[in-house]
Amino acid sequence: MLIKKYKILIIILLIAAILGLNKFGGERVRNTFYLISSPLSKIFWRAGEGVSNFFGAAFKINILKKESEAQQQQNLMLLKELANLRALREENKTLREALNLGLEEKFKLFLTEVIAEEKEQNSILITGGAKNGISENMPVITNEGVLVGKIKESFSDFSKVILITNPKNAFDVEIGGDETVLGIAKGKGNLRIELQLVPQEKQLKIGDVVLTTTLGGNFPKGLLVGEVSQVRKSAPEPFQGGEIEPYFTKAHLRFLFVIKKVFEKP
Amino acid sequence: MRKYLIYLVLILVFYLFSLLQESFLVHFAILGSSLNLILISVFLLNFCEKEKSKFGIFAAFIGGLFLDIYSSFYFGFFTLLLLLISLSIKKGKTLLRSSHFISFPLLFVFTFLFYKLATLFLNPTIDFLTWVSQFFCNFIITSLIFLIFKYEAKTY
Repeated sequence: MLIKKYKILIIILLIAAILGLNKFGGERVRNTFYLISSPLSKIFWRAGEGVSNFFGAAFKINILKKESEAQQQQNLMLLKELANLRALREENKTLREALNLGLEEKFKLFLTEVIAEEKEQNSILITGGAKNGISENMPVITNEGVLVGKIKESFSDFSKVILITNPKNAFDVEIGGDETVLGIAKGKGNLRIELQLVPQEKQLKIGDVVLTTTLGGNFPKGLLVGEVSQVRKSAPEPFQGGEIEPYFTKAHLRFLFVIKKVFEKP
Repeated sequence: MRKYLIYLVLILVFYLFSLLQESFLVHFAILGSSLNLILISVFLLNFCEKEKSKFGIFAAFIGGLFLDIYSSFYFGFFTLLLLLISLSIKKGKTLLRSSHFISFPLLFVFTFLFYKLATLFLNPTIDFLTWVSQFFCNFIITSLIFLIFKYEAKTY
């Protein structure tokens, strides 16, 4: 009876309490919810990966066959390059040390697991938060050194990562083709990245590998971003652009690394 | 007692839906879109219930809360959004008063567009192809569930 009498007041108080969480305790509420739900979230995430891989493979058999043939050819070319590199390595001690460097020697890494993805916001939720020394703007990569995104929000035990495809993400990149070219990579949402501000006179072609640079201070140098999938060149414009197909979309986003610190080269 | 049990079951079901939506269904995105189980449930509950029932409004409140927890945006944004959608569906049904074949798709289009336009605050890019694919995925599932329940209700 009391509830019916003060119905409107109760509703207003509830809404005020929810809005009040933006100032007080909202992070704690989210962290507690993620903590309680993370075992189930991990199960659903792994199950989703497994099922989608199974059906994905069934639908993509023809594509996989063509990709396999193309990769076999590429392997032969890489083997030839590897033979040349081995010869160089014997002669040059500095080059040998660079080739032997692993990620763990360049960066202080923290291993995390993905438990959820928010498609509308181009973001993912990972385990590990402020308690583990994770803070905003730390880069997140796969074990192959492929850039995934950066930490947007760090709760006590979990962190939100905005993907490099998020429209709020823009960073400097270098495109390694016949000559090194600089440009800007800007997220377009829906797992796409736009390449902007590449000087007209520079050569840009499909398949060129895109890496991060230290210009702009967003990410450490040399992380793999993707490859150029489209080139847009128009004579009157001072700059050309295109699209980048991000590498992280080809990886299994389950275990990732947060770069907590970049070790300076002596 | 039974009434409160139904509300508790709704909270648990929406909790499960939020986990499925964020951790399982994301792996099955078609052209960047996956199912929004919470939006579908809120729409169906508000569309199918009697005019004077408040259950749909409660569902919108709970569904919005779970969406807020996963969102990076202000807490309460999705709660208020779904509450507005719930009230609009009830008002829309009263105004339309036509057969379900007309009011159902009309109200669903309104719900979807209202939701997407509001979420432009989070993702200020309009990707036409993704929006169309999201609309059709969610509309097909919503329609199937509605038809199944309508058939079951007629049978019993």
